[in-house]
Amino acid sequence: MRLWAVLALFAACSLLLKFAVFVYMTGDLSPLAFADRICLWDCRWFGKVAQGYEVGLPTNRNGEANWAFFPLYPLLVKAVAMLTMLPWTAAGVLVSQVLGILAAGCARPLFGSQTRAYWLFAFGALLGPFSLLFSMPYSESLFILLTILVLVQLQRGDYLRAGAWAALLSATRVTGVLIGAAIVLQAIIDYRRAGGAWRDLPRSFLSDNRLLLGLALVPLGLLGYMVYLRLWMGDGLAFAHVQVAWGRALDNPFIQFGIALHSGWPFKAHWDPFSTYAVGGLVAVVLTTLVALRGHYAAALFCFIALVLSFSAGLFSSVRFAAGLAPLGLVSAELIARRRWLSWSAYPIGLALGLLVVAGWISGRDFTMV
Amino acid sequence: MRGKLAFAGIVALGLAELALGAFAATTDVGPEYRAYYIDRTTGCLPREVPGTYALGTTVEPQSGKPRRAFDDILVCGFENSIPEGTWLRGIEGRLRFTLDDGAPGDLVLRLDASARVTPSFRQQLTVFANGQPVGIVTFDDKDPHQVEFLIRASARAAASGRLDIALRMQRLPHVEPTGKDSRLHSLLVGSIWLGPAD
Repeated sequence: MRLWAVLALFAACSLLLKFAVFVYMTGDLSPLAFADRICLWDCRWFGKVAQGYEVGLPTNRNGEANWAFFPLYPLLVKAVAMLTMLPWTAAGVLVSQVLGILAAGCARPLFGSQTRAYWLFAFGALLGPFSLLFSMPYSESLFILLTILVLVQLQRGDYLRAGAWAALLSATRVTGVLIGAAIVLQAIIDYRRAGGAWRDLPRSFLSDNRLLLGLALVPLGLLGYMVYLRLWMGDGLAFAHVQVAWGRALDNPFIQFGIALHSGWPFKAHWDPFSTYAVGGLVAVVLTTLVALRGHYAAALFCFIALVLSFSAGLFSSVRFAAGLAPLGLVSAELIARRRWLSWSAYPIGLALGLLVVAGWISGRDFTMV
Repeated sequence: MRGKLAFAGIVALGLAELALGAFAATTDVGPEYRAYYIDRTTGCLPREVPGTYALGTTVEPQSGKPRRAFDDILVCGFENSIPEGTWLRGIEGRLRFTLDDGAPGDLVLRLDASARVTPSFRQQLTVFANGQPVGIVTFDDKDPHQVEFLIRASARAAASGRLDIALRMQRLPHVEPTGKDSRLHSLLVGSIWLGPAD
């Protein structure tokens, strides 16, 4: 109970501080104006999803359409908006903040006895550099929470519940379905740790109905959305095909990575977006390696294939994609918390960076979180 | 027994998912959707526009300028505006002008444009009016140029006041990408003017 109270306090402070930055920059005291102001880029697309998916050819210049955005998060916000009578953006801020509290609270079992690391993670999630993800109407908030719920169930060896959360994850973002690979890997690791032999593994898995059902549940969210798109507008893969409208085409992720590094080089003191995305991609790869080196193989596999899929469409938004991968945040907190002095200095630095990111976002001139 | 029933249920769920996945992977879309989104054989996704245009006026597609005039004539192929104008994404763009009956016979289309060129590649722009070629221009450098195309009255005689202009570039140059979308850029248009030929 105390834990949830502290997390709620963190979240309240987070919103108040971000609102204070907004008031300082704009002079506007309206909370609704704040919600509108931080609803930029994809947030507006989520708002359009809440109004319903587009049918027929889009009328904008490049053919961008809201099919690219998975339905679970905007529908959740829409439901809250209808219940509370709040405008969509304000309901989105509220939902994301509550999802942030839930994500931070539900992550507690993943840290075991590492109390210092846990509190650093919780603080970082709600008040740190990327805490904006839990304050603005973006689907990363739901994605992080559901990823954590899957990982917690995997830690308990409950593959059925993990699969159920994963089904929701696959309805949240395109990379969500990839967590099915992590469930399979964790099941193999658990089986081997229990002394199982490789030759008996197929028979053992086929006789484990909870595992099989869990795995069968994983793609349900994605499939539901695909069938909806197929019936509604004739193309079940429209969410992928529409990426061309943003100039994104799937390519070899390693080539894309090379292009991004080349475009961003030399990295500038006053970074431009391309340097930021290149560095963000590099840091994500390093952190994924660290997740694996810390023994979290299933989580590392999920991050790796999610990054490969994301990078195959280019490194644009790499910072946000990396920040949305919960295991990277978990391992960062674990590593920083190994040194007490580093841990304590991370609090004010994380808070300051978080406020800087908010200021950059509100100004519309910073592309870190785009 | 219960375990076997559960297993059978899981197998049935898996098969149902396979069937749904196979169904969702099929398409039932029009040719324009297929060409733009799926086959990616064109960068031109046509849209219905009124073609409203007053002869002799200059349309400036730059960001910060009123969007209405350009949006009214832009059928497809051009990106969202930037301060310098609008990039042709890919190699084809189309414009539509709806002209009243009083429009003079021969017209001139004037563009302020610069092309994506490389030291080894000179870009070529061909303009079509209602499907008929009306001119070819070669861009030797990256500088903005004013280019003109004479459109004979005969080119729009059968179209009852509608003038569909197509801009076609030779091909996309091979350039090192410097930013999002840049590999797809071919022509930057800064202004469009259509008026009577002198």
